Amino acid sequence: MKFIKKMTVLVLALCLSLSFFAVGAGCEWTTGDAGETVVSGGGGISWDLGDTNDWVARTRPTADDFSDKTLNIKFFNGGYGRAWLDEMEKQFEADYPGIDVRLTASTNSSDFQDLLRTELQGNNPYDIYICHDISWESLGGDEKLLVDLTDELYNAVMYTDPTPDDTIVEEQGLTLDESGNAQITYKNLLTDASVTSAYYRDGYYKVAQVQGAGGILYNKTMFDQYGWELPETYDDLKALCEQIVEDTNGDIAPFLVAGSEGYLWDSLVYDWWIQLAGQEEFNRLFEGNDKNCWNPDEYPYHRQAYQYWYDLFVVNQSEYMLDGFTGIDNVMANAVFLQGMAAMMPATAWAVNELGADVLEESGLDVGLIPTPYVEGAKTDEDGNPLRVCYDVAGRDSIVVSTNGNSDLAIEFLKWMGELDNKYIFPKNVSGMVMGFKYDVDTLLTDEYCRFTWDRDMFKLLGETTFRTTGYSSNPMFVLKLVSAYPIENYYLRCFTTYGTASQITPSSIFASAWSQVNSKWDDWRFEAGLE
Amino acid sequence: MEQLKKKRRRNKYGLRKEQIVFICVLLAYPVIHFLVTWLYINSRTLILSFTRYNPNVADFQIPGNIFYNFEMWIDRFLHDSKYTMILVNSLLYFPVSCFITLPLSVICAYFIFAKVPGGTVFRVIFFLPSILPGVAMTMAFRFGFDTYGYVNALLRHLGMENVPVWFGTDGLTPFMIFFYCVWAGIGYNVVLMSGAMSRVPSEIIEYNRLEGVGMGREMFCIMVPMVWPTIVTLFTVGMNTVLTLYMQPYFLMGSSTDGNFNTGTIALYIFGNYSDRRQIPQLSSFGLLCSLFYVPVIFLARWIMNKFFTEVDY
Repeated sequence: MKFIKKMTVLVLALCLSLSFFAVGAGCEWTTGDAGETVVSGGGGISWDLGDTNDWVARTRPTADDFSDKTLNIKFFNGGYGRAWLDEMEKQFEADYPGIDVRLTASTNSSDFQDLLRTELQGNNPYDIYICHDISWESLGGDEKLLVDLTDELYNAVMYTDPTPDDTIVEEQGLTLDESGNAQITYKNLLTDASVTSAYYRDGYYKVAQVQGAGGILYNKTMFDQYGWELPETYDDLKALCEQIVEDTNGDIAPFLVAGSEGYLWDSLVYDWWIQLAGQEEFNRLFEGNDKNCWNPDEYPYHRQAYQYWYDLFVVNQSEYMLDGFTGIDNVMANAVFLQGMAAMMPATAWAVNELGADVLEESGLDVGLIPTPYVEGAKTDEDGNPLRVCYDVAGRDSIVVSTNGNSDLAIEFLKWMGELDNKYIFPKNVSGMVMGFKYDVDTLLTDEYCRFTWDRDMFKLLGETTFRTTGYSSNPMFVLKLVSAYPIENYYLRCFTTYGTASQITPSSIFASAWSQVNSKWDDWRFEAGLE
Repeated sequence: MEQLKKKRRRNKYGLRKEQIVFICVLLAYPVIHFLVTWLYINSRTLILSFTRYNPNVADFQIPGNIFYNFEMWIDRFLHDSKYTMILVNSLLYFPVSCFITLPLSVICAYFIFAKVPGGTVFRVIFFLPSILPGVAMTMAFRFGFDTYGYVNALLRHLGMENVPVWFGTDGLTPFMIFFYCVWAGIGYNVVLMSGAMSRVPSEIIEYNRLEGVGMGREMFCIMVPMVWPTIVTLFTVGMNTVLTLYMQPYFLMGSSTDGNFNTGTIALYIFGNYSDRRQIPQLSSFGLLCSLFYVPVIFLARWIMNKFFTEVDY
């Protein structure tokens, strides 16, 4: 018996030692090249590639060129619905006879987040994944489970222009072939903000699915009924809130946001931040080279923007916000808004699709978008007019291609999607939204693409904006979430719930804590991100 | 010849070959289970807690300071109110589970055992929350207390102007989660306690009745000591909730792992971040650190509990 006991102990000890080796992670820290830092940002969606009438399209491959003739796409069936993808499926199959596109919808975002790595590591059946918040940087740039789209897609020539405009060639950096034809690549078809939001380490690992803008969703029917005017400036917005309270005796709340969707305030706060800082100063923080960007004494723009938000909404929450808004979820918030209990909501591009375009049409309700009002001190153009900028929460939505799937056909689908006519299938089916490509805004402003005032307002805003960003940075410190615009948290919700209490959280306390954290951890974070 | 055939070979422990095979097959599953789901996982957790994710090699490596993760957590607990609240909130599940839910369960189980009128119906009512899916239960509970739910509608109808925001305030919301845990947790305990009480010899109960022992005395002086091992077990399980509870706040807060309104727990934090591979070393060290401090407390509590009454066989 003693022998068996001894053997058992020995075997267990051996197993423990073996398992220590089996789990790996025993080697010493390795330094490496973190790659070039790219910060997302660029102009609006307006077409800046000149006249396309003379362009010659590439020769499309046929079904015979692909060994596997089935394209499997898994997509998140959320706010945008699936009508756009259903139409693309039919159109693609018609354009490529012999190819079969199979769509798999999922309403579980975990399929694209928690579970995607396991699926990509196994023998996954899907070639393309479409969803928000895919960890494409680590799955692609680090682990190489996604296709590097740099050469096969981004640098692929989609059109040639036999009569190129010299100015456009120079401005857009187009290359000329031996015959002097300008080559328009896939990258040229995308907006700068989309291109820069898809780069990590050494290449492009995703295609930005959508572009949008944040702002304020308003009940246009209600505004027309009461004769309220749209605010241009921060002071106008404050006056409008006062007027709404006065005109309705407090029965209609000026603002509403679901307690669970506090991030929607980013649409306003980030816009004010960019207005105050300007493009270069805003990007400086996301480049992640200078920790002083988190020091509110040296870099005051973010705190100032936050203060504007705090003074308007938190301080006046009893009058300007719907009672009990912190306790309701997004679905309830949309229902309450449709019932006319509030006049406005901070919103991002998918707002109308979540409200339900069909529901709006049936109820005869019209909604619109108020671009984020200008604050005092907003940067101006040469004529002294404040610059229109916008922060895009929706821009994080991605299309990625699996390495162990049918990647050739998948890339062909993405190319087809970017062709001049096909990209319009999306805005035709999704209210007020476009894909990551450049568009002709005049075309978008026609009735075919505008069902509501919101759509028109959104396309107009996307067209006239001088700087649009998703806040993406390829700096590993941001990708690893070691640091962010709010290194601790955004505190939007807690500002509301602690206001007037002993534990009140204020912009000063938030930014002082954030700076303290960044200042003490900066070197650690740089080391952990492999930057030192 | 036949005698020779019957005489099978035995080893020095007196086991025949067939017996050895039988024992090996019998032990194979638990041993493999132990090696894979306990030894490997815990060894991996232990090692990973000393590593950090290195983006340059897309793998976990040991940094210069191997205690970095632990120092980070201690710093967070001491200086970051968000993480302090997660700890405090998690620890509060100990009194909620052990000093509210468990005593209520004992009382309810005793009343059912004592055959109060409608006891069988109550047993079903108590157990119903335990057999319904957690998602459905939490939805039903949450809808009732929503800003526009029937509870607030009733309160407004009764003349209350400023109705509480049950799931939207820092002070009230954690107590709503505790309340739900008590409501939904009693049923399971009641069934276990009822089972233990039903094993108490009927002669003892009959003797109590003949001696005129009241219900209160019978419950506290007779039944509680008789079912003490079950109470100790449930107490220990209740203590475990400090480290393991996450589903209730997750579902009640709209599938959010943010821990808004002070509803975060240790397990919810780990659950909310585990999918990010880069977070795994930090989460491993978080779990390990919490276990290091709390598991001895569980053992101590169990040891103290076992001192109260001598176990009785019946």
